[in-house]
Amino acid sequence: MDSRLLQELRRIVGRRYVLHRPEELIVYEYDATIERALPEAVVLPGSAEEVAAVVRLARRYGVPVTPRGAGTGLSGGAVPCEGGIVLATARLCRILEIDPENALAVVEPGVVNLDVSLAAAPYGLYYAPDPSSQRACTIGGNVAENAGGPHCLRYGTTTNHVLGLELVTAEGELVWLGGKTPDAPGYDLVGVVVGSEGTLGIVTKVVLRLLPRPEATVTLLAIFDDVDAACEAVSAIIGQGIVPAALEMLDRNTMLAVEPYVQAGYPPDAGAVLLIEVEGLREEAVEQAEAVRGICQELSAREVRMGFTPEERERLWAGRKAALGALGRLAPSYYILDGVVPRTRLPQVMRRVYEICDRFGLQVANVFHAGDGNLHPNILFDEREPGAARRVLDCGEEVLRVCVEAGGTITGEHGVGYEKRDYMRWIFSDDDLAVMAALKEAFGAGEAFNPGKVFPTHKGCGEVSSGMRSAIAKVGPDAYV
Amino acid sequence: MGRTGALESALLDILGRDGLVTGEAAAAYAIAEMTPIAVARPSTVEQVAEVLRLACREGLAVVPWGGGTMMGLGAPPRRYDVALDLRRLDRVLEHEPADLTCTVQSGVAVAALQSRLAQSGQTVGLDPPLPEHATVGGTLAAAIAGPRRYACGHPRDYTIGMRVVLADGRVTRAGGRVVKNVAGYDLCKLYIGSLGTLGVIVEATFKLLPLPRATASLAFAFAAPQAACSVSREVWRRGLPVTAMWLQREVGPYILFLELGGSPGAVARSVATASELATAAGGTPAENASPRWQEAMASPARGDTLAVRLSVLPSRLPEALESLAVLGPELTVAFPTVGSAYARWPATVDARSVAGQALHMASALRGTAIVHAWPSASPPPADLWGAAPPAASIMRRIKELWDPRAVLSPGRFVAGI
Repeated sequence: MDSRLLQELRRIVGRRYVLHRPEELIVYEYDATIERALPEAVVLPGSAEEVAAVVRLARRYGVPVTPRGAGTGLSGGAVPCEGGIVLATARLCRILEIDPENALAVVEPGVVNLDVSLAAAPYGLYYAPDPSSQRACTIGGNVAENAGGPHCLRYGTTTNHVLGLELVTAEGELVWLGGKTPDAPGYDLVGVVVGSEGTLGIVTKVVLRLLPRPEATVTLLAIFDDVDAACEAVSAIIGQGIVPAALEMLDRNTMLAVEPYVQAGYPPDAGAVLLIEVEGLREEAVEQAEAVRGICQELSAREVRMGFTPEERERLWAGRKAALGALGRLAPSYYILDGVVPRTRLPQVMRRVYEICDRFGLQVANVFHAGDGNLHPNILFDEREPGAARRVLDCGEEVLRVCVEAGGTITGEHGVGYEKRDYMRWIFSDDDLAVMAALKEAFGAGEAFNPGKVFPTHKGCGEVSSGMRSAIAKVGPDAYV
Repeated sequence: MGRTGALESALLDILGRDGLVTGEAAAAYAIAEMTPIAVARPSTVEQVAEVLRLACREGLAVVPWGGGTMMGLGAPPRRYDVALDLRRLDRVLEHEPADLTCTVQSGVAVAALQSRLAQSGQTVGLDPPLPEHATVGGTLAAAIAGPRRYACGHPRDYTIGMRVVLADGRVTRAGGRVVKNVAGYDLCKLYIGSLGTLGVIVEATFKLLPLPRATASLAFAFAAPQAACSVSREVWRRGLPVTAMWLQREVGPYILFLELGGSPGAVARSVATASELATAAGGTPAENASPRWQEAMASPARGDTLAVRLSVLPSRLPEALESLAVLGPELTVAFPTVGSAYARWPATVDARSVAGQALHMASALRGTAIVHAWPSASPPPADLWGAAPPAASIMRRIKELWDPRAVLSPGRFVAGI
């Protein structure tokens, strides 16, 4: 990288906060997915004004900027595909305000998701979106990817909880979109920046909506002989007018991985487990829990456990929360997919997922947000085995195809990023994509931020896939967990 | 054949006799003092696209119409050639109850959709005034959320997909048909509240909710807004299963309306709890009060009243309501947990002065205000939308890129868009 640029970056953020030696940069070349790419420099600004100054400088030098939170993303969002500067938000980690009276929080983008709820807890409030990585992932990353989590079934994803944003535009200007008060006149730019994967600007402050803790929460764990029966129960619960706070499924492979690790008490021959949480007033929660138990039993659940106290509930959740980590017991690596299908199509699509993985000779462990129809097949593999990574990607592509053909989509909460950008054409026409590109133009963003993400390349699918495969070839065995 | 004749004949080719209204009858589509040359009533998405292609080619200005219940919102169009009445696009395209989603054409009336969904024990969050007339598309374009916002959120929260015809006739999709979807930019958000300035919404897909098994309605009168707002906050904090909430004042007391829905046990206890909270705060039962929120929120194309919408922090709403009361509105409706209020004055008021004071008051309270309805007899002021928003330049660029020939609702929206 141009030494004058480095010099000027140091002047903005201070010498300590500009990293450029290879051994420093290598820490910033990956997130929780497959791709890796080295930045040319990493900056850690300490204020929104510093972010703006970095962006203006990068613009002058024609160098792209890729924002990065905790690097827990599952679509390569923080990986600087085309090099340039990685702007890490680690120092922008202040909770600026908790306003219990108006049930909102103002935070910087580097604040960890769970810390918002911890800060709001003394007032009986919390921040609802709860990605599985919520102990590590940051609000800035959540905003970029429109992150979800188990409780999105009832409470919606990040976009439903962001009231306002301070954004650094490509021109390096700070501008507020939305704010603390509702219904800001004009186009809903908050709504389009959330989920834009860091391509429209860099978020430097976020106004979040907080919710009151419900009076009662009941967690149920229902054990089924097979995935089909569990899927049927999902449809029946939703079909009977119950919208649980969360409705998660674990399949046999997942249970096999989890059981020795957390002793969740899953029977060794069970085919699927549903984890269901209902909440509200005591009467409501208990009544819904009984109804859910009835439905599960009617659909031949072999056992339904219920948890009422925090400790009991925590025990029921333990297997779910440990699931992704435990997959390491089955294989050195896994590749996680994020397709969504209409809830009623779950049984057929799940059958197809197993068929496809079987055909590719790959093991799959499913742990996912069944109530939303949001699948997470984790394809297990060992990339030291020649050709394995290639097979995994082909298999994943086929699974996502099936989701799209069932009326669904390629990503429910992880983002398009780099790996799925060429699948965008399966769901959007050239005109649809042109309109999205126009939005980037309206923000004056061009390729200034996170280039190479979201939009399909002009290459044919084959060429792109091979590019992706060569990226994978460089991946180490520890890159997935 | 003059310009009018040529336009009529071109539209006739696209729409057929049933799809075209001209002459005197077009006066029903006047906005403020402007009457369109013709009214297009397409019955297919392709016809919508063809009308817009024609308009784009000929440099015509088109204003989309639904039920007309919100056409008083925004400035009169700078130009106005064609009213695009979408009410013949009135089909429910898909509703699979167990998916808890539905896809409908935009011209469906909201009440018709709700009664169709109710047959399956479901409902959609859409909650505009005059739902027998208000269409799905119009409610989205105007981003209107009534008292059910308390439980269902804003249209932006439950709209998951759209089909939109752009100003040049391209038919595009945004979002999808599944409840979680982060593929690409969420353009639904852009169209919701864009007041027909970026595209014509022809289809929408929604997340649905189950209807509650038991319901109850309550109303309490309070002498001052502070007490009513604190009760509403406590109801929220305790998580009572409220499905709709609003505060209403004519002259005299502030009346807090609560609609509850959930399991019978939860509703029964909530009725008791809410009553205790209200009584402790000095409220008295007001069973006979009649709900008037729809009147406060409707904004017909040629109304004779002034209405202002105010947005402040919920904690400042009591103060805002006290200040509004000084300006003597005939009807005020507020959503206390949201921080939003609509106030309405009769035609006899000095609209310019009152609106100016209301807008000024909102900014003093660090909120925003817009003129929601303007008496059509007098020319509206330039700042109907209040001060230009901080991101006005991005908004203008969006408009230029989406609609470079200013075909759609020119001049109706924020910052002259």
